[in-house]
Amino acid sequence: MSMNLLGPTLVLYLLVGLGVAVALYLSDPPRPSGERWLRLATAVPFWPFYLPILLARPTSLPTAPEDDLARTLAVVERELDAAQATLEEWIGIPEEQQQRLEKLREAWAAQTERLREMDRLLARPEYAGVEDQPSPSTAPRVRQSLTARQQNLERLRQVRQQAEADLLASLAWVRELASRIHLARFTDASEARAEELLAALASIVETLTAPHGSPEQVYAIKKAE
Amino acid sequence: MLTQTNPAALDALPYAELAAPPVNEHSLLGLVELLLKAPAQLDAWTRDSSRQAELVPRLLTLALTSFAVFSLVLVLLFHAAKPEAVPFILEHWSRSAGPALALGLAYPVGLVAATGICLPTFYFFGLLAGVRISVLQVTTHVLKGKAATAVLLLGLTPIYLCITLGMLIFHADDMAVSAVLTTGLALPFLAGLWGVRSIYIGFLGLADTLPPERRCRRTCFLRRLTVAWATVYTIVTPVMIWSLYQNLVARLG
Repeated sequence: MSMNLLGPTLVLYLLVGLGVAVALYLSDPPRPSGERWLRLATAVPFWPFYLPILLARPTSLPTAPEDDLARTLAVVERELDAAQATLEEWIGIPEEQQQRLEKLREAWAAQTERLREMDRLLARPEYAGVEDQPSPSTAPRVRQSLTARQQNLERLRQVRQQAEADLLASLAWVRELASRIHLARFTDASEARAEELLAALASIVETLTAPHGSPEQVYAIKKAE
Repeated sequence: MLTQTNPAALDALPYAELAAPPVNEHSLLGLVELLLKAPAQLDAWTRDSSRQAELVPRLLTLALTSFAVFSLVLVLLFHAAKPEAVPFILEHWSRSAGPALALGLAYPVGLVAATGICLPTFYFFGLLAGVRISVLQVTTHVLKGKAATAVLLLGLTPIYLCITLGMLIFHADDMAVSAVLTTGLALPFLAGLWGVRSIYIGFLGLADTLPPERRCRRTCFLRRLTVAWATVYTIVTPVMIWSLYQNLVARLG
């Protein structure tokens, strides 16, 4: 006895389509009603094309590099907290130094935000794609503009790399100082040594824009994370 | 007009204004313009995860609209032709509404549904070649190829309509009309070569996500996989359209 599977299969297919359409309706950002209904109408019969949109939505945001940086920053801030607590208990931290350490955290946050802005800009398709090469028939003024544009973008990428290296070097230096503070505390070092380390820690904010760390330090912190 | 523009003024224009024409990507006509004038820009957008979710429905709508217009023209021409001139491949064709509706639905639905069937294959081929790609990105790439096919088909349709209508009006030989109508049935596949080219170029552009030391070898592999996918798709699509037509004719009478 032959079985007609077309009807039940179509029903199942359209049921899944209805589910996808409902999910799309619930998760879609506001848009003109005509466009919205057209999307829903095509989502029922052609749901295999809409399913990737629903599945990709949470992960399609370009957050991975930012998250890496945020995680690194969070780890170093925890180490700085621990070092500050040790120093507070040991010699007490003067108000002025407390403020400088607070400024250091603000400088890190500002630098991180600046990096993110540059990343977002450089990730735009018009900047992230293959670089346009001027053809021999291109007019001289246009060729000049094109070359200047490429140079500017290259410079922007270098500025971004330098900013990241500065930030990572600063973080690496803080981690090193924090470990020295703990070491000094438990090897019964003098209070003068503790004050010296605190001063070094607090002075990082003034030199954040100038790289402290060697490439090895930068590599070490990246590797550590 | 470009020819009336002062050359000095043209030289002073920023390159971006000359290279990428400003288009409204949110409209279907804007998307058509982009496919014709700046396909590289569209390729770049298919790689932008923030645009993919917006591009997929628009490309799909463009493809469906264009295929629907083409199949409507095809149905009208078949309707106007003598029954003896209708190609033998269209079994059960008559001038009643059932077969016309079946043919009108089989083309747009079949062409797009075949893409949906081949979509997972394309994704796995990409993974096999080592390309860093998401399912959504594959969907966008494939629909971009489908939309390119649709645009070319829409461009060919008036020419085809003129030729066939001319033959029908001047009572050309049945064999000749049958040959032209058969060509009409195959026209989406000829236009499909343009879509395959679009997918090929876009997909090979993803080779820059491969590790530099393996890029050359892997790109060659990717090229072969893309051609293999195009072959599979070219086989699946006519079978899909024919099966849909047969089933719909059987049900719609």
